[in-house]
Amino acid sequence: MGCRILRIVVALVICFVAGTFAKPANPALNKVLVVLNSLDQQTYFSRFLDSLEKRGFNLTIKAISDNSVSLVTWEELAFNNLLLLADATSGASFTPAKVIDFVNRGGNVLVAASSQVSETIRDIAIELSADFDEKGNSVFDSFNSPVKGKSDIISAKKFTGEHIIIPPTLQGQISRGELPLLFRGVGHRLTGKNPLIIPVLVGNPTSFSYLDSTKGKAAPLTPGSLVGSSLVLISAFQARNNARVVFSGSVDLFKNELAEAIIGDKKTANAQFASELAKWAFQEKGVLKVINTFHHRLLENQQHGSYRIKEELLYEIELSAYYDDVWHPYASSSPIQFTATMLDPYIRQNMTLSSKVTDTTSTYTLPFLTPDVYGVFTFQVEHKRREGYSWIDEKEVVSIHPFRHDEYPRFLSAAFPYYANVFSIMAGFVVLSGVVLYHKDSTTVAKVKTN
Amino acid sequence: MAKNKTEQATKAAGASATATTSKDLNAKTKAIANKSFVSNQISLVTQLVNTYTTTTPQLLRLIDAYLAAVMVSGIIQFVYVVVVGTFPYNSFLSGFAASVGAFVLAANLRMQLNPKNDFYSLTPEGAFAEFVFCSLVFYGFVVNFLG
Amino acid sequence: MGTAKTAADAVWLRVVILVTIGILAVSSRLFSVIRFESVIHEFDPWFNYRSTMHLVNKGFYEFLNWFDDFSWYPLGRVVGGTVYPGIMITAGAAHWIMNKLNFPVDIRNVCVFLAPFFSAFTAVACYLLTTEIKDASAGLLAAAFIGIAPGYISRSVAGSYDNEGIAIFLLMITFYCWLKAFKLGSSLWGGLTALFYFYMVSAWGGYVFIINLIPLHVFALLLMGRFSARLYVSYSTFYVIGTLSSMEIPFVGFQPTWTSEHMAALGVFGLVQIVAFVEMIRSHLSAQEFKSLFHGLIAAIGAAGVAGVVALVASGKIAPFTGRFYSLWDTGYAKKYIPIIASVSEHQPTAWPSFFFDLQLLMPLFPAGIYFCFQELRDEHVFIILYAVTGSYFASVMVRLILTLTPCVCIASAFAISKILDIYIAPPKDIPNDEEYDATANTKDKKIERSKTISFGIHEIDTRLSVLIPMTLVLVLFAWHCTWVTSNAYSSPSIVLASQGRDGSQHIIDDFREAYYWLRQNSAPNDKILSWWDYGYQITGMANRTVLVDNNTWNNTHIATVGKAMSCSEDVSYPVMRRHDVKFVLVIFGAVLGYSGDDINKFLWMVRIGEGVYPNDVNERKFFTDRGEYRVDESATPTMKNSIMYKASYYRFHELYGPNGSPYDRVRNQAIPKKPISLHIMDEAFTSENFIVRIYQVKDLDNLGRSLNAAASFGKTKRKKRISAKPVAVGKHRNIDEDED
Repeated sequence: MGCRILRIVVALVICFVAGTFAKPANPALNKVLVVLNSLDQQTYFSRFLDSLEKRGFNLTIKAISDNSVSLVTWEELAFNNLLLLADATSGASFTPAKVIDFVNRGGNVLVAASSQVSETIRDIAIELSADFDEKGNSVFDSFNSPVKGKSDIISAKKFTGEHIIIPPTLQGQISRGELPLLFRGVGHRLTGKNPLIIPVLVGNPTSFSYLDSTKGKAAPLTPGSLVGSSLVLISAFQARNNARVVFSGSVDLFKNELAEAIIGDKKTANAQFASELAKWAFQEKGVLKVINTFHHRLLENQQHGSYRIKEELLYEIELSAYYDDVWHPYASSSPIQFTATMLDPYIRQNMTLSSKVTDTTSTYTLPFLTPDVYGVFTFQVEHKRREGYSWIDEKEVVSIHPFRHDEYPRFLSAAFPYYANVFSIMAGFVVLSGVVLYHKDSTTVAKVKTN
Repeated sequence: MAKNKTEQATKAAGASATATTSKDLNAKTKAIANKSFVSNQISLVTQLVNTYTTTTPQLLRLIDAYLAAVMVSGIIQFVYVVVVGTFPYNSFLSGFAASVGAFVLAANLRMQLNPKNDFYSLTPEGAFAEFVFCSLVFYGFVVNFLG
Repeated sequence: MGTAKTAADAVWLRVVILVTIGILAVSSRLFSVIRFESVIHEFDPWFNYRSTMHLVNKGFYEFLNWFDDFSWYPLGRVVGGTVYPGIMITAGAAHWIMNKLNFPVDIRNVCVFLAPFFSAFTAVACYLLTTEIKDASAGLLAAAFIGIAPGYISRSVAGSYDNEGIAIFLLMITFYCWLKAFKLGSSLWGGLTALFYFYMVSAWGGYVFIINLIPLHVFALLLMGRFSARLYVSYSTFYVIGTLSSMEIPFVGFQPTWTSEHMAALGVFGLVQIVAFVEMIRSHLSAQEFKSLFHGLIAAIGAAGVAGVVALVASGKIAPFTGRFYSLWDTGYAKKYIPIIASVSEHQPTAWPSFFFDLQLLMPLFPAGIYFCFQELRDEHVFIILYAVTGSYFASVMVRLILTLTPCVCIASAFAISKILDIYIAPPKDIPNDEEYDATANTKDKKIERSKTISFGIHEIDTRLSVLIPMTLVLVLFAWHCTWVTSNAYSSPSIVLASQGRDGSQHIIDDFREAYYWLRQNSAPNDKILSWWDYGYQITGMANRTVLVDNNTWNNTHIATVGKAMSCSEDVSYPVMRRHDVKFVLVIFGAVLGYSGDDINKFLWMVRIGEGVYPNDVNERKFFTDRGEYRVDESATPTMKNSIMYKASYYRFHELYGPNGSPYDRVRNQAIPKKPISLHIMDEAFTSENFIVRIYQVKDLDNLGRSLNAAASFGKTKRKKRISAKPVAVGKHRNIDEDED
């Protein structure tokens, strides 16, 4: 008895505690581990870190050499986000294997490098198909170096693609030069065909990557050199488990120094840009959530695991997008497709945004006719556009069975003669039976009794 | 029905044969030979008809009438399926099989009732009971298969 | 002969003997239950068992419309339309009745014991049939033979819950009804024949044997000039009702109207109608010219009919024979064209020893019985002769068709032995048994005088004993042999193996159930399992998981796909597995224990079947060494070593032997290389106690978009080489296709 009361008390206490503290305002849980080359560098990033804290993140700041930190404890994430600002040094707690394990478990990482890029960062990046340039190389742009005497500070202007990582207004201001974005660091290239990584900020047409120490010497660029838009400055990676990793070639971009710099009479965009980058990386925007999927017969309102061939179904998916600290209904800029696959796709159609919209969710629907083939189909909504939104891959296995024995059409007009025949013959049988039974034969041997 | 069919067939054959003889003047001898053959045929058929009408019990003749009717129904269905197509194939099979089956079962009854045939100790009542049993089973299957 | 009292005694004696035979038949099939436990055996019975469960749990209509999404993923299988439901319905009905009578029997036990009980019924049916052929004493002998003949026991031990278990009974009882029907000219018996035929159609694909043998019998009788109104009545009734009813089994459907297998029956039906018509005409006219005239007519119509059938086959209106059917005529056909049929061991041509193994004494007696049939040659003997001829042919073409021959062999042997015993036990001065026969025999058959066969000199007791004692000894030996064969060869459930230790103690090897149970407990309910089709039924039955292919080998392409997935390298197989949503790969591996029925030994069939559909990906030649040998040791070809099957089988095999041991394959008697095998598309998930079943879990796509090979080697190699890559094209809204690579 005592034990039970104790349990209830404990439960109440837990509820109370849970109710007061742990209520994250956003889907990104808020524990951030900030890793620096050394703890005294903390002041360099104070603006950026303060902004994070202001947004509700719970920062733990460690030096990379600190061996007491572990990203994963007891098979669970100790932190949700990793801010790796240690550009030049490595540490035993942050080996590539550990960081990648962290990502595979769903942790988000923001990595900032510099021309002194460490082997750790390079190794992490290469697993994610981003290949940092050789150590010592920096990005130069003789036509866009706004700070006199510091030729390695360039003002980056070129964005690629349409994505939500940096809001279009800010993108416009930066590319028009209204708010210069100062970048000092190393470039990287995106290797291979990995579809999970997208470049965010690339070099201007006049940018190139060059070995810092050979400054001034006229070494020709080789064909493999990073120039122009193949020189990626910042890229964003989203793993299949929706963990996000941002690679920035410049750790200075996040420092107070560049954020507070004044170019001419203009403030820099760095603070705002860094903040947007962190918002995306730490799941504060562009997060999609499937609330519910629902399929049913057109005239019913109940989901089944199995349908008949050639049946009219309605497939619905309820989606919600997170940004600006609240969940919104999601309206995709690109079509959302529904696929019904059994080895090959039998149906692949765009879904339409239905009028069923709540404060936080929107619903996409598609009415369709089940294929005239029976089998186990996979109903799938795979929405993976390289726009910065979370990947959506909803799969459900539904079996489509043939007609039941009593579902075939009956009483066909074409068959009426047969029906007529069968029943007339059966009538004939009765008549014949009567005749045989009651026949009084006058002529022959057959003696038939009436029974 | 057997009688009717043969009769008609032979008649038709005879008619065509006479037609050819009247046309073909050159081959008189042949015609004569034909004619004797044909007349032979005809006489045989008439003989057949005679023996049938005289020796067959009335009951058996009634059954024969039923057989003929059933056969006609079967033929009609066959023509229908050729013309219209086999779409409700099960219905067609069922209908057609009903005709065939009714024919066969009635023919069985006829044979068993025919005193000329040797069926050991089978009494007419027994034959009729067997007929009813088989028919019931059969029509059960027919109706089940119909639609 | 004899008084009424002795006749009644004789009847009772027969009943008692028959019951004893029935008990014997049942009990000699229980070895496996006693030795192991009451389990469903082998492969197909598991499907039947699962279907029966469905029938019992969900009811008949749900069973009829059952779409099984657990097999043939993702195609599914319309079970209701592709199964012979006879056995399930029989077991379901038995279960229902017993429960109604307040015997709460588990459906599993009903299924396990169904075949033994039906074997008792078979013995009775055999008795009845043989009684029609000869007499009651021969009938009892035949019943005893069929009760213990290994050829039949092989398919009807307890737990062998398969179609054949009830089909042989139905075969016999149908034949009995048929003999009865045409002997009496009774449409009642004809109708009963048709009803049992209907039951048979619902129970086993072997019904085709009936629908060809009976018309063949009728045709033979016609040729022998033995047409009678009785024949017409019995055959017409049987054919009309039987064919219509057979079409109501969904699996058979309209086949009787368009497949060649059923055309002979139709042709004979037509022929019988014509003959009957002619006979009727003749009865009205006894004129001789007509006889000859109409005989000519029959010949003409018959020829036209055959020509018509040939034309229809040629024009494709009637389906040509199926592959399985062709393989009955040309034993090499399957090997050449349909590896899937040839790969089944029970479809192989029969070797001579297996005849003697399965039938022993009956084998030499069988021709003697047939000889006696020829000697008497009444209508029913013609039937037995035809059965013997066709049955022997089919039995020699396919191992498993020994089963259909066995009853015939039993009948013929019983005929022969009872003939001998008749003569030597009771001196043939007063042939008592034949009295009742002469009453029923045809007038024609009376020509053969029984007394002619009797020779003198056998009245003395010593001559008689000198025959009877060896006869008895031989029979005892036969019974001995049957029991031995049943106990040793046919009573293994094959899902549980037994091995004997040096001291004679028995070890139970229960790896299969261990592994299936592991799957049942450790995989998600909708996980898909990839394995060779042999284990499909067992996995769905025991592990309750979805499989890609199973023992109902209806889709060759799908099986070939599995063959391809097993025989290709990891990188080729992975997309195939992804496409089929495979979660686990299951292989059977016997090298540790020396279990020879494992997947490496079946592997060449997978390769062959896979090559039939995917010749670009699979090439059988590449699995053989330069010297044309199929090897798994050091000299195995690279293709072999890279195949999923090889890797999955021998993965970490060498670790079993420790660092200094030499890994050795006890099935193939070859040494296995010690080099570790690397697997990157799947992880070892489970290996059973004796390594017989190995289960691997297929990895998901890499979370970071790397190739699985690269992901697997991450952290193992020091540093990845830099990829001199082109920058990625940056396009608008590029859709990401997972399966691009």
